Amino acid sequence: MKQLKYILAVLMLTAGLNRPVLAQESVKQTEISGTVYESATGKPVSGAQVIIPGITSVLTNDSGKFVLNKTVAGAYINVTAPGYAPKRISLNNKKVLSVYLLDESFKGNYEDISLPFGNKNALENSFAVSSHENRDDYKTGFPGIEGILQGNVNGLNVRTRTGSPNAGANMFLDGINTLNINSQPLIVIDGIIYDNQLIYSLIGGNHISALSDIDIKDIESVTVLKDGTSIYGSKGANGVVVINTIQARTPATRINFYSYLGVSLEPSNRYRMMGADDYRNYIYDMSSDYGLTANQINALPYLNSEKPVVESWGVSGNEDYYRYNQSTDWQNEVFRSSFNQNYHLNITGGNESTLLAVAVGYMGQSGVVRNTDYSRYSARVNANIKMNDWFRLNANISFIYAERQLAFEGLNRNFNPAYASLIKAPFESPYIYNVLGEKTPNYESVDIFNVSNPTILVNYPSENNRFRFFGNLKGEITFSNYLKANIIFGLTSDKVTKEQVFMPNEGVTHDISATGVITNESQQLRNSLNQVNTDTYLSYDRSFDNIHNVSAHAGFRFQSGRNELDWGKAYNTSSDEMKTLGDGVNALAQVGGNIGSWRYISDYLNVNYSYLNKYLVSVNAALDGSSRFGADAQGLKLFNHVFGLFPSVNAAWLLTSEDFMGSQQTFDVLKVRVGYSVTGNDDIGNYSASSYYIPQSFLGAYGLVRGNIPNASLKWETHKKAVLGIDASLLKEKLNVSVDLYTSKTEDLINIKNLSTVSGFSVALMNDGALQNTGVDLNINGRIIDQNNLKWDAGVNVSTYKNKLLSASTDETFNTIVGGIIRTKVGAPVAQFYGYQTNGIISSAEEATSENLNIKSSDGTLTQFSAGDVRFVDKDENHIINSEDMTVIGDPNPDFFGALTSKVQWKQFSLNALFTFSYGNDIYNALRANLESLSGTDNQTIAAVYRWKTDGQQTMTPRASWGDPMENARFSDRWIEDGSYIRLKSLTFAYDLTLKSKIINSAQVYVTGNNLLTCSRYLGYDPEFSAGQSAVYAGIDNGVTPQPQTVLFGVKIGL
Amino acid sequence: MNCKYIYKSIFTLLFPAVILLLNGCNDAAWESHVGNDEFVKKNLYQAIGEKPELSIYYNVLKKTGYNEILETSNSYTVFAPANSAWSGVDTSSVDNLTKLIGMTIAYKTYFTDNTELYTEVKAVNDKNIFYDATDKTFNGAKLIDPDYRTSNGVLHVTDKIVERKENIWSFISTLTESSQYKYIKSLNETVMDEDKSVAVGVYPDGRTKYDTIWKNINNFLSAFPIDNEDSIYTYVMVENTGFDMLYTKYKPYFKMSSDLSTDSLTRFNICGDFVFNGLIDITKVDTLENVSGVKVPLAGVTISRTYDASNGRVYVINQSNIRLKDKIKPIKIEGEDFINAYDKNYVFTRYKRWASGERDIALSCGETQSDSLWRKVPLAPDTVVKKDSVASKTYFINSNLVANVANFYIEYTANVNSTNYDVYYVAYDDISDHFDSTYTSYGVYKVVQKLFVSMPGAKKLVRGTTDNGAEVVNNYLGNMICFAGEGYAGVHELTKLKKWSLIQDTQILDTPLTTADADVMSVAQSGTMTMWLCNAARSTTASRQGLLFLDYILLVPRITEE
Repeated sequence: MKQLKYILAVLMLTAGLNRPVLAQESVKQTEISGTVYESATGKPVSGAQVIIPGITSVLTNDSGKFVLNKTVAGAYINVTAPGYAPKRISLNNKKVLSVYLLDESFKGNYEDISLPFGNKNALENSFAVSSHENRDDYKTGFPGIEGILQGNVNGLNVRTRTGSPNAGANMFLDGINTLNINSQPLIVIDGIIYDNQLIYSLIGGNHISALSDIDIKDIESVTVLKDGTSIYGSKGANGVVVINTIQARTPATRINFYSYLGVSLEPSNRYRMMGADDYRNYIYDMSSDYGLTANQINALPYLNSEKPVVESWGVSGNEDYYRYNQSTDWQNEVFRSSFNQNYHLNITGGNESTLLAVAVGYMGQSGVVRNTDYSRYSARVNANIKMNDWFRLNANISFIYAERQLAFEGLNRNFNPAYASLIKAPFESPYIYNVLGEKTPNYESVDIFNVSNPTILVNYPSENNRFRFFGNLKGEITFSNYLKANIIFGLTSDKVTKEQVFMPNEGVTHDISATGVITNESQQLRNSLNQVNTDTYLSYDRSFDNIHNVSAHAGFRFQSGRNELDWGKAYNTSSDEMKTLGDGVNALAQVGGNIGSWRYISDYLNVNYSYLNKYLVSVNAALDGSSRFGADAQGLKLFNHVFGLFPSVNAAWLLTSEDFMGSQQTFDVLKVRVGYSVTGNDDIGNYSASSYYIPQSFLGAYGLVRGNIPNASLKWETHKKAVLGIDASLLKEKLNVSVDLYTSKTEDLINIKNLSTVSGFSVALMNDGALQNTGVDLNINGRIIDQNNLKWDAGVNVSTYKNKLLSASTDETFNTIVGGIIRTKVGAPVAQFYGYQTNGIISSAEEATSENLNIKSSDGTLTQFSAGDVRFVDKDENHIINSEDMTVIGDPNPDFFGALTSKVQWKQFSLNALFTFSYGNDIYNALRANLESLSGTDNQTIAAVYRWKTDGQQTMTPRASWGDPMENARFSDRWIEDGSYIRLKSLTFAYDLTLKSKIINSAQVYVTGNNLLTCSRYLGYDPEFSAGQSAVYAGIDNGVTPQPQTVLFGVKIGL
Repeated sequence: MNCKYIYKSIFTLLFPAVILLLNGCNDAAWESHVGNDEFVKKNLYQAIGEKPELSIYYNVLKKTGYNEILETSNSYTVFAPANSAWSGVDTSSVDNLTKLIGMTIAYKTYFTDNTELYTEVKAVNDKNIFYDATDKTFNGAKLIDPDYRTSNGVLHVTDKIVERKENIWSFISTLTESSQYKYIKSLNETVMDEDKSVAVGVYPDGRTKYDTIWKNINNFLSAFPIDNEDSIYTYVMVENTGFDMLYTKYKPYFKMSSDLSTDSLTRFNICGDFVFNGLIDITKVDTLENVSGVKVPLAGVTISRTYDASNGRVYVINQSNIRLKDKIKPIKIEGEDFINAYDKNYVFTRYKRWASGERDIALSCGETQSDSLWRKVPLAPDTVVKKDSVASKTYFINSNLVANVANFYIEYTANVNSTNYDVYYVAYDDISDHFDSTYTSYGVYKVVQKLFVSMPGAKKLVRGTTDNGAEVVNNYLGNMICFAGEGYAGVHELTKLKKWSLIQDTQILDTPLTTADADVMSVAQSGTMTMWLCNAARSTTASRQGLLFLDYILLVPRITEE
């Protein structure tokens, strides 16, 4: 019978028919009574609405009591009252009910969550999701949405990229799902795919992402879909983040004004670099190791200690004495505390037919590196217009303009001011000192050690200005109560209107190019992205007697995009005042760029069915075609094109709705979910599957050459994922637990194959290999104290995963990234650090002789490690330290990670805290590997003070050796550090003003501190960073800017 | 209820624990990373102050101001004398103490495992400290408590104060009767220091008026700095009889324009011939090459005195009979080391494996040998017969660079002694079609080149002052005679140059001289000689004035010795 009805429902859906409502034969007369209490005080709540949807509805009386006369099989009641969180209770066989309502600030399990086809009650959802509704997020002062995702949703490993202003975060859902292509979740805003590919930048180490430019105050709710993303077919493999922006709900005019002012503090956790004295001693010994005699060393201008005396005929003594006898903390010259501000105004309201939400905002944020500022201007209009009885129009239009001043990041010793500040000799000064020892206002140029002047570098910040228009129109046609059609048309236009880099001659080291000596350089970039998205679907939504609930959607999505990037680099303009590309020397000029366009179509179907409100089934499927897929790729062949089919099925069982659970008191809600989905990753390059040509210069003349080896059978990565989940509420809903166990497998991995040189190409793309992730996401949140005036909510998100490369045609692959070697091997977790193990320092000549470790040069001669060298572990015990002795020395994947939240409310005061943590992940500190190499004139960390100097000395730092002939600084576990941390990401103390004004509705004042405390054994600036989106970049710290500690004071005024 | 208890306890325990963790763990991380080494926290002066057995030294450092050096962050090795070493030392005079203390601090950090410590180390007063391997002492001081590590160097406790030594020149100055000393001292002169003297006006006669600063210079000590501490030398003094013997022997070869100059040059050469690099025990060598490469015989000499100086060692011996052959040596002048040329653009330095110094030079020029073209006859390989046809050849790098100039010269200089020399050169014409092996077209070229010389002190060679514009004015043999070398293309050998007579005006080679001195170059006065290698045209055809090749010139002195 059940099956029959199910088939019937599907038939009706497919026919798009609109049968009359079945007679409500199942409605039974009964008497269900109950009382509604306030959970905090135990007092009855009067005037609460108690509804069995579609059946009956009553209000509670003064003593909180209600009586319902009708019911239906599988019925539940919804209890709502102003100021309280909604509650939904299955009736089972219960005749007498006690309902405890928590206040609306509590995040419960009965709320609506936003899903791709609109909002849905959490209990009716059969997917693994993690959702968040934006209520107080503005108080965190986070510039972008990633900060919100980091604390409030689970399963998503959100890692802030760098501390540069609003650099955003990289997000990895449920482990590492791909090796070489896009690893980031699909972003869907107001029903339209939001392009969130990083925008190429000339400014090394920087990440410019469009998602970070959205003001969190424009956001109403966020849901992360962890499975069931087959509805997004070949774009759903990394999960989907569904974002809804603010909408007006009622015609009443509401005006909210937000503002904060704050400061970012200088990073407190700096590298402990040597001061002028220790550095001088180091450089003296290093010069000695280089082979200079005492006389030669004493004649070096920076070590010659004869003070200059001005005579009538000139200067006797060391003219440069004062240049090299200063004491500068260079990190002070680069870092500074800075000022942040934000203003945001939004207005909602309208009339019965038109509802409008309008927002404008400005954000000014300054980075901890001098002259790195971020300014954002945003505007948004979201309109809901009821045109007539059957047609509604929803328009969401946003415009963002962002101006950035940026500094180079990473191990770029010429241009990165932070890196230059670390290696710069501390006995120098940013300013020229004359021969009399007087400071002049002129900047020092490149120093004798060829290190740029960091002060000049921060005075020449690079710029990036861009805007994004993102808008969509959505028409909703109502055919009947059950059948609707939706047509959405979205437009994205993103332009980098100007990106400029100018590195002057004065004070900046330039590399020597193949064609000439570089004196200064100017670089410019323009980028434009234009994208059209449409989504057209029919939706059918109907409840049959409350017994069968069916909702179904079928439609198609179309995307057409075009990206154009142009850059130019000019060198050697006639002066540092001439900065445009046209001023450079023609012979050295370079230009480049690329154009890419793609089209994508997806036909999809989504069916959700529930029986008796306790058995839930969802089926999703998408049939995707893309201009990127190869013509000979495996898949469905339709109309001479290749399509991929991506189905998923999810089912859930709401146990607490079962009669047999009616009498138990432990669980308020207990839901078990299972799901299996197949999705894809289509980020395989626009033209990888077809052949293309690129221009190539030969002696100044350009010609066209083949750009790749086409792989016509190149297809998407296929991602298969199974999830078992449990959602539970206990203790009168005061404790909510959600667990997801998953296992996923990515097949047809896109592999970048290195080719033999005879092919004429370095790499080719192919589908090769499979990758597995298994893990657990756990979310617990609860109300610990629930009193009238004092409430304490706390929560914890913990996730863990293990990944493994299941197969690949090449057993082991090695990538070398900033000196580190990253191994990917079949059967092992991806992207492990692979290098040498060390066991301290060889302390004496005797030890060196008895251990007899050697390196072998290319001509076969052996050189013995001597006292003061690092003792590398000789794995194969052949007394030769070579690549055979390399082994796995670290794993960037955390054992577990997540967040802790705490929210205390006492009367009008509230104290919110968010801790984020990661445990058991290793970091390759590439920056420290350079700062402790003890091989040249660069300033080193204080470890160099403790360097090995004499026979028998026990230390952890090897000797100073010019050029490091024994390669003591090679990639070894000396540079692998424990990256575990716990960080007080955000702490907010707020006060709600009680105002008796007719104009001002509400007002809040708050003080927030971000990143106030970080506890970690990590020696680098910041254990939380993400240098790249690819798996092989995980845990590699190449010198990212630390995240600043910020303190801000803000207000919100509601009119 | 159980559940409730558990979760409450989890949260109440978790949060305080978290707060505890947050306190200052980064500092601790750095501490455990770098370790806790107390030694790096003290500098040398502080370390000395902490050692009771160095209390006298500590006070003396303070008294002399040397403590300031030990508090700077450069890198030092301190030979700190223990208190027992000070007995009998007069510590009242600061000047005296300063001299002593200067010896106890050396630049750079030398632990005892550093082999460099056992050569010589440089003290901060610029003196050198030498290690004596037999006694295991450093200028007499033994290390009794070595290798005390500090932030700016190393501290070795010694049983004695490191002895202060004089340098070589200071020691020699005590041998006032020595001819060597007298001569070197006679070179002292006071001159105006042009760098430091500032022009303050002009005299009426136009000369610049200086605020003059004077400085002392000594040409010998400038050439052989045995008076400073930068390099280590061994210097040998010969007694005056030995000196006079060498004087007699050297003098004829160092003739100058006046007797006074000849005398000085001769003495300078004798004094300079006894300077040797490094610290050498001359009792263990038979002959020793001095800094100028002259072999000095030392076998069987009588050493009357030895002194270990701060920059080396001095020996006083009876005599050393330096052989003239070793003193007056053949002179080799590489072709590529030319000083000047008629036009340098036409002269090419060629990289040739066979060449001396792997380089030779060639002049890009046309050549005609119609008047004397030679070829080998296949039937009789060793005979050379004249060919009648006219042929010409050019050697060029690119066709725009063909000199076509008569008497194109390439200039060389050489320092010669006043004696007779034989003149040789290697001029290898290796251009394959100049010695065509098929014998069909051109045959073998004759390579003939001229060499004009002007003697030291005489007028320089001049070209182009006479009517025909290309004549070389020669002060040595006159315009009608020059040296010339003859050879064949494809033959790589040393060619002896002989004097030829020249045709008037054109200076085309006429005939070789047959006189007895036809192959000798007699140099009357020692000094710098100039040589011009010139092309030897066989005709006046403007475009065929002859090419030039030169690997090197060799001047061999005719020395007749016992």
